[in-house]
Amino acid sequence: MISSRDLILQRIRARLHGAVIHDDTIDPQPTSVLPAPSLEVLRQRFMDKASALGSMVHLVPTRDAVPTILENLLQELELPLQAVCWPALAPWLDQHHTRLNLFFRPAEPADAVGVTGCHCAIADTGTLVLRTSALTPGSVSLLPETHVALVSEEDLVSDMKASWRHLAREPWARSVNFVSGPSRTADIEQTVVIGAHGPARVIILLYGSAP
Amino acid sequence: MHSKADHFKENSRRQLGDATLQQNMRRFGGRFAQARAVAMEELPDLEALRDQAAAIRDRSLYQLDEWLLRFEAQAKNAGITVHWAATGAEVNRIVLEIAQAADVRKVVKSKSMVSEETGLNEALIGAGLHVVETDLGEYILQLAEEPPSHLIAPALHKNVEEVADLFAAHHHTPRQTDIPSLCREARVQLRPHFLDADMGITGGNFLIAETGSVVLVTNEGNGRMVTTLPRVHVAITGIEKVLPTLDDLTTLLKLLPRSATGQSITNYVSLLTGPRHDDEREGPSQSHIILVDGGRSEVLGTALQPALRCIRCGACMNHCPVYQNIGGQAYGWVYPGPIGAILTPAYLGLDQARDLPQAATLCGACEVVCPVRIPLPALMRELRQQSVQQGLRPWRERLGVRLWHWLALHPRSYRWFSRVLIWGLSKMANAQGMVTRLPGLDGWTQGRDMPAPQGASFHSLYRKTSRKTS
Ligand code: SF4
Repeated sequence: MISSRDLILQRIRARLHGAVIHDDTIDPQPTSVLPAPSLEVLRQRFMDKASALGSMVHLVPTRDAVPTILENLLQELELPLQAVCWPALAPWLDQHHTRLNLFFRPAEPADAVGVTGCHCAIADTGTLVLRTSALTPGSVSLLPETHVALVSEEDLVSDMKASWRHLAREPWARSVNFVSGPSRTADIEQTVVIGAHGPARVIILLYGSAP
Repeated sequence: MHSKADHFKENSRRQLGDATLQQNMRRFGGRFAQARAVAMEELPDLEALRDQAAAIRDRSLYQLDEWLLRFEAQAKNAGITVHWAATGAEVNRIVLEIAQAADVRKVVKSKSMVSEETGLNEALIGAGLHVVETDLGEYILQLAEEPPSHLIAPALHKNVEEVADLFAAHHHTPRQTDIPSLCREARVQLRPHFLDADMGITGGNFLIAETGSVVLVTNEGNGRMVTTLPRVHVAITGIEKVLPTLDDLTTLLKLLPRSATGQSITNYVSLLTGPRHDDEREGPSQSHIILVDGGRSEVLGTALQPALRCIRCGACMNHCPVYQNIGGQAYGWVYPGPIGAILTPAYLGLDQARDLPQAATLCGACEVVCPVRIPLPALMRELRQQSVQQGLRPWRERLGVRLWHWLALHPRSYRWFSRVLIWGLSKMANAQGMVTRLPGLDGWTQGRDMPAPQGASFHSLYRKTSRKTS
């Protein structure tokens, strides 16, 4: 008996055989030859777009200032000074002495705050691009109610197309997630409610390249 | 899903008579349409972008076999098991086999229209599995035991009071009636299911041939949950969903969320490429994809092929005056609105959905908004023509058209007949000159009155004038 695979392919070929091949004059790829925007432009655009989608963006002058700012922030928001973090962040966050109690592992149901880095961030849409791996488990940006992303200005790219080039530098991850703000639903009376199954709060600490 | 598409007239009559539904549809009104209009203004090159989007989808469809094979090879490389299913029954069988082999007890689902086509939930529940829909809209409908009424807002026809009743009855919790609390309640109820499910089932908005990835476009985060936490992931998608490259995806993603809800991008876009890697501590250890035909290949190479470009944004129904009055469930199967009026007869056979292509005023609003430029009205006209050619129209309609045909070829009889008709109608008119009931056409006069013809016919006026001038 013929397999469904062969049957389907056979049908497709029979149907398409002799079909008028479509007009090829439209180039499906919009070729943008715009020069890459300056860092100032990218930073401003990213902040505007991310805030518009409900993320809270904080500028941090230097990388070294991040752990202290994180501590202050959690305190201000009256969150526990405890968070689950990407294992990839351990070498950085562990050497700083703060009152934070940090765990470097995949998230568990009880975790209230998840801290991640990001692979790159898209200015045009205010989007974080996260890849999963053993050192960057996806659950950290998914299960906790609050997601804090530490983003380096150096990783800002202008649009999604540029992010593919960024992603192509490393082996393809099991899951690549484009995250644009806290989870939401509008399934009851088209009323937008923030905080569906994913995080209800997304905080972005955008840090400068100064040491 | 069992189709009721061939009872369109009864379905829509019932929906029109349902006061709550009518109120809910009024509330829905133009909200999505307005949001779309605002979001589209941000795109300076919208029309060019729509051309590109249509060209991308055409390129996939005209070489569908090649792109599917490329996708299959890449997906296998990434460790995904690729299944092909010619029919809905085969889809259900494959999912059950996977479930049995992996000793699955509980299944969590994020939205999948194809699984609605195949009636997957009933099949799984029938085999003793516990199935939970996790998209809020789909979850509400699972509790209500109803089919979806919209592509992206499946419970659009329910109001907050109805949801409150359902939740109170099923969760045994105090009844809450504000929307944020109800969403919170759903989150709390569904979280444990995500955590202890064995299998996650999703649809797929797109398949990427160059990487072998399945793309999910979601807002709630349930798509990420069901592809991160359970041991087994099964994605079910139609064969037409394949895109050649990631750059193609970029172009379509500029249009899909804007067309659908007016968002510049959805909260989550996930590219899933295979099971967990050896050193990872989470993610499914098995990853399957089922490529479903279900009538799609039969549409290729026919006049209806452009309908396969559809990216399921819902804009056509958001702008459809007929949909806004009768609601999605009147269409009787999985896909409502203008695109449903084409896909349902295309997939199930025209004789299973005779009245759907007639369910349009042909106002053209759907074609104006469709991001991939599907000529929906032209396709409906094509189906209307086919249904006449196949003798599928009711005898009264056929007789009427025959009669008119004959009269049109016999001017004398035509004039005599129209004189009798004019006389008859003016006799039936009330004091205001309106005809309120037409025997045999009371479906039409139920909602409106018809003005009785006044004065002489064009023919007799023309004769009189030309006699005078000659
Ligand atoms: S037919 Fe066009 S407008 Fe309608 S759902 Fe499909 S893509 Fe959207």
